[in-house]
Amino acid sequence: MKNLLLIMIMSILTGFTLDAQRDIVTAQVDGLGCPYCAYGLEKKFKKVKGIKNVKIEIEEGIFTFTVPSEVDLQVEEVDNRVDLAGYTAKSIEIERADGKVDKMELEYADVETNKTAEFAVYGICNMCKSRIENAARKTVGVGEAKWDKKTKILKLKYNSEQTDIATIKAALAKKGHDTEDTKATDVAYENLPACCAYDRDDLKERAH
Amino acid sequence: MKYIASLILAIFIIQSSFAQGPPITGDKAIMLGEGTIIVKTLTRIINTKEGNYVNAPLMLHYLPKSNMLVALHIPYASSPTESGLGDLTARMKYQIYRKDQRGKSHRIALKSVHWLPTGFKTGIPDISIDEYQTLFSVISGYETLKHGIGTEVGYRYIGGGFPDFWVVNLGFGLPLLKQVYPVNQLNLYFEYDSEWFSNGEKNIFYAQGIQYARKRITLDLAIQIPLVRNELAAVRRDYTLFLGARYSY
Repeated sequence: MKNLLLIMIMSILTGFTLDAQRDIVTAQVDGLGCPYCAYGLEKKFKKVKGIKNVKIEIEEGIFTFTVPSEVDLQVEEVDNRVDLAGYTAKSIEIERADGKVDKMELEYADVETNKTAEFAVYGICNMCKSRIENAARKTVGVGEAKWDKKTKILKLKYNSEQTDIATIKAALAKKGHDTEDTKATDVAYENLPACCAYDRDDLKERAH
Repeated sequence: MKYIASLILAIFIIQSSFAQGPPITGDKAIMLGEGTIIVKTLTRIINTKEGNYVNAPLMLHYLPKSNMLVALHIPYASSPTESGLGDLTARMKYQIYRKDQRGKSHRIALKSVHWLPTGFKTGIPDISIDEYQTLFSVISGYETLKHGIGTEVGYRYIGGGFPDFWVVNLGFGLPLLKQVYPVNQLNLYFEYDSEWFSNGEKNIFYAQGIQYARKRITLDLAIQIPLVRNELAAVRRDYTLFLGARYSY
């Protein structure tokens, strides 16, 4: 009887411990004009392994949920899923079980643009897309940034009095993404999540 | 008997399909995200001097991308003299503009609808006329937590000697309950649909609708009455009743 009681207590404690190993995700989402929109948003996250405690506060546009820490969900993936649901993330925060916090701010200043540019940026997935576009948009003077996963081309609209292409390429390199003439440091490249680890040599060959 | 068949079909679809959002007689530019499948119906019962005409479609919608919708509508149609398969329609919507803000969204989409001559002749294009028809339109929607406004402007080409016309629709939605998630909503709809012909004649209709939504199921009920009518006496629409059910995966 004592053993049984001990096993039960251990099971409950183990359950609590496992439950504690969860990351808490909070996103500020714009465009949720009605509860149906919230349904579309939740549905897009159902495929995230182990997702629980989904809560959407419609009026504030605050979307929260938890995921097991081992999933290692990245802010770029959250941004990408919100976009696929047809809405716009303004900020994303992932509070890791170990206390670390990952953040992504997606609110950009309005920029009056006077130039356009196109160049190849290396990346492979939708998370790369989110990171590349966000890094470009976060550069002061950039008004629009759209990256095509297939062609690798980043299309920009920017203000030439506030920034230049070299500065934008440097911002991309800092996030781990090479361009033809600006290479990310090995540390920045290695910091990319596994799914974003593009083949640097292969892409260079393709570009030539 | 035909009413009963339509009602049974509507009830069957309520049981086996899933719900989406407003409006009732109009269309919306806001879509529910990549990969969504929506099965719905919107039974239309048109009362005329000759009797009642019914169009009860099974609507299959799919979103291959977050800004694109393709759909197939398979209708059961009936007139006072005949019933059976109506004119199938293939639809596509492509969202070209999206501006999101906290608790609100403004979207614009291009829409095309193609009717195939798979039905029988009734004299009412919305029921079944066994002719090719095509509609190209621009839909706009501005939705906030307090109200929704939707518009549609387009041109409808109709074969078989029927006159083509411009389509101009305007709709307002008003939620009566606090907006919460999971969905629990009661909405009122005020929708104006109009048809403008090249000879200057027009038909303008007003629909008063009510919609109840809980979780993923939505039920729609609307009655549409004519405000201005330039139709042939035989097919003059006295009123139209809409009964709908939606469910989305």
